Amino acid sequence: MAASVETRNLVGSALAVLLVGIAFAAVFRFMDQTQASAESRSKVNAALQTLERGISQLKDAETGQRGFLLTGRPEYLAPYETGRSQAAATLEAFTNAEGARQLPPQDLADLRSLTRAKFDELADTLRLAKAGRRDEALALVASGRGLQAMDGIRALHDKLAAALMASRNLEEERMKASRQHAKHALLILGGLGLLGIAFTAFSMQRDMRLRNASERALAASEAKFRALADHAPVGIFEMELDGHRPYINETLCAFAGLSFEEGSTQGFRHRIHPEDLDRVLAHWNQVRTTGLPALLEYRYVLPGGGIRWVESRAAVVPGPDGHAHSFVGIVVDQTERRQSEEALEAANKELEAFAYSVSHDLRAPLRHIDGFVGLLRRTLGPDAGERAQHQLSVISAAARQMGELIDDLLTFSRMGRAEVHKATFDLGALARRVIEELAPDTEGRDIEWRIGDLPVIQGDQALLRLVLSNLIGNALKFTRGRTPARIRISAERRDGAIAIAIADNGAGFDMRYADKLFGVFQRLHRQDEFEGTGIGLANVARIIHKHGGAVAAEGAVGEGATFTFTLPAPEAA
Amino acid sequence: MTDLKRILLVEDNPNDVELTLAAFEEHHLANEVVVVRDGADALDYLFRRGAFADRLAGNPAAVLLDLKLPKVNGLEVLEAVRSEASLHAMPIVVLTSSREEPDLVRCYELGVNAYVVKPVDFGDFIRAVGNLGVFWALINQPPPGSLSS
Repeated sequence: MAASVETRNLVGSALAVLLVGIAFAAVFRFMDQTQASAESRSKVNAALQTLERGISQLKDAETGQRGFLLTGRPEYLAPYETGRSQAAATLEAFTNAEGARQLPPQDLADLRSLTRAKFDELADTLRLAKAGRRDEALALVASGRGLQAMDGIRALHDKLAAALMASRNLEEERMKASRQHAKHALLILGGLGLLGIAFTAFSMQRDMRLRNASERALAASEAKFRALADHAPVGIFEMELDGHRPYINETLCAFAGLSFEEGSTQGFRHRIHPEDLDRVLAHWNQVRTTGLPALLEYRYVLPGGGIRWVESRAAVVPGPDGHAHSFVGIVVDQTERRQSEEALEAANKELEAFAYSVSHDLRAPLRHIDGFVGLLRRTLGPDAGERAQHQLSVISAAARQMGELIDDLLTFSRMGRAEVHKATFDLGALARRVIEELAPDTEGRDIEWRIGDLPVIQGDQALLRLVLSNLIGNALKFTRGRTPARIRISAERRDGAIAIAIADNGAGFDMRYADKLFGVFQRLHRQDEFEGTGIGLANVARIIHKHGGAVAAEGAVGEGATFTFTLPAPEAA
Repeated sequence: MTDLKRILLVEDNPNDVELTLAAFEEHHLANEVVVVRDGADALDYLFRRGAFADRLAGNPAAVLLDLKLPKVNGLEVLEAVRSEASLHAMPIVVLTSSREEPDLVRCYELGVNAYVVKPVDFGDFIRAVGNLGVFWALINQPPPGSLSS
């Protein structure tokens, strides 16, 4: 798992700062050491100078003593006195000096006692000389007591001075080393820290560059989709729950007959058809409370007074806090669809009115023709000749035939408007019921029925009953005169559909005219051969097409016919 | 034949009137039929107003009602009759050329007692209309307040 860029930058910069901090601390520490060494060195120096001064003052005192002893002149006593008191103080100061603390105490004690012995010798010789016993004084000098002390002092001075100088050199070495360390610490740690800071800065800058790049990509993508949305042929909007619209496209404004400017500032409510406004507001409330996407059709009143039907599909989208924040939706112009629907509805109404009129007004005269033929027969009674009876029969039959045609035509017309109400049912059971109903046509006939396994199907049972009734009825009709008549009903699966075939060994037909079979009022047999109106198969084709299936016929003159229709296989339960 | 009851035939077409009466004659019912030729006359008769203000009180034993009628059509007659308390129970048979499903549905919604499609075939017609007359005028027991001749 890669650490995020932020974490990496944070850790990098913290490390860099830490390194720089350590570098500074080290430099300060080494500088402190240098300082301490410098102080020690100057103290040692001071102690060394004090020692030299003390020795020099001691020599001054000795010179004064020699001068007085040689000359006896009292002016030599003054330098002696001064040298003596100064040397005493200076040497005392030396033994107490900080810079001398490191010296062996025994040496210092020896220095003190030797100094005292020298001062005593000086004082003794001068006391003898002042008392006029100059010879005794010179003898004391010659005894070497003073010289011995002075030699001891010199030897000690040399030893102590050498020790102090060594100490001074050591401190200087230390100073140099500390300076060197400080320099190295600064170079290495500081350098590393600076490198770290530079790396972090670089990384942050790169990060920023990447972020800028992705922001630019986002902006480009946003611009692209905005351009698409602006020019889409549907209205697009986002509306916050308080009614504020952060986005609308130009198409939506155009739908309501508004300019983009007007749509953005005035909103759309004043353009909604007054009759639809309550419904629209209720709809928005519903979408808001349920949060479910919903559809709504309503009208805009255009500036010229025209009407535009639109369909709005809106859904609630949550804001960053997860709660409903705004609606987004698209609005589709439905004016054309509405107009064609209205036109279709009007056409359907007209057709219905026409069919209604046909069924009432066209049948009445036929009834009257047949009715009055009947009355005329009664009036004429048995006196009517055979010829007249025949003519009356023809009139009667023609009227009844016309009546059947009208009935069939009306059925066909109704079929065109009928809705398919699909249900799942057993086609075999339906076929057996239809055959039972056709019993009047089968009575006294030798018929071999072969009914295969018929499946459970999905379809409109009432309409498919008409299909079976027509096809089985046809099979019975066209096998009239065949002994035995053979009628076979079978089903098979074919390309995801169910194909049902009804085959007979009847009159058959010429395949050249097969395409005419399913047309309205198309017949391949004369009325005096096989009666019919030519509507039955047209109805069959209509019903099967409404079910999404197809019809086909195969046959040969005198060898029977096979009618096949397909139905979509039922959806898996 | 004192228990013969009156039938009101509402039919605008003279041919149909003639054929219907011919069917009734077969059963000797023709004299008991009152014929009116449109929906407005039918309502006047039933509500005893206009030209029929002076007719004897009492409802017909049954009304044979065509649907396609001038002025006031059959459905409107049916609606008016069914919303009048004194006519509410009177038997009404629709006798029409058509078996359009919307008509059937609407008629039964309005409480029609029977709905008969006039057969085209003369023999069928005579039998059907004759049977209707016999049933409603002779066999059926009309609600109280019906008119006897």
